[in-house]
Amino acid sequence: MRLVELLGVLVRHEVEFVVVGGVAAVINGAPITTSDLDILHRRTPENVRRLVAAVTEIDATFRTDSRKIRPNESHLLGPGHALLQTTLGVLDSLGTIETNTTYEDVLVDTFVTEVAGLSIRALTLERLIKVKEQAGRPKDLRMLPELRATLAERNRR
Amino acid sequence: MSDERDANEGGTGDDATTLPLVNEDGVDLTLIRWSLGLTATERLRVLEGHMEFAEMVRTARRDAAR
Repeated sequence: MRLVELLGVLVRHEVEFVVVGGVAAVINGAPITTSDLDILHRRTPENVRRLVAAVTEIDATFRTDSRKIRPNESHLLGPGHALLQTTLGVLDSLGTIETNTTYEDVLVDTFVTEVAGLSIRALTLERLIKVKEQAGRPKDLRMLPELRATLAERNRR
Repeated sequence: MSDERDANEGGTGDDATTLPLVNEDGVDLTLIRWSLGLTATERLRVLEGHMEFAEMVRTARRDAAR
């Protein structure tokens, strides 16, 4: 997984997105591991066009479909999750998170940080904890003790 | 790795003598302190290293099963 390179492709194509999931946890300082990049993308026609251009450059296909279907604008304009395999690794591009929460809804709980010279917007640790609590899946719940401990340690400093 | 650590055990240095090494959930706080001391870029590079290692192990297991 070439994570930083993958983020670089999205930034170069001027895609508006928020890093969510495990990579957001790592950006926030939680020492966890994950195997994919989850982003919440803005679902305007212009942004989805840029996103399609970005993922086309890295040969994205739906990894849950053996027909190797390539994502197009109609796939990414909806609220669903596009689970993609790319030449740079696994990318999940989400139209919404939680119960229909959009890019615009979540902006207030994000921050921009520099990663290898790229300006990357990520979910705050506080909001990420709420997202994981609400998701309630075993893999989300397993991550919670480390996220909460990271938040407590950061607040202690 | 840290099974033998006491949650209230200190380490070396002034700060470490007063800070727990693990919390009540068993989370290794030393790793968190280390990670918080890195830049976001460094954190993602560490993660990339873990991902690369995991992929290497997966490939080796796949090859061994053939």
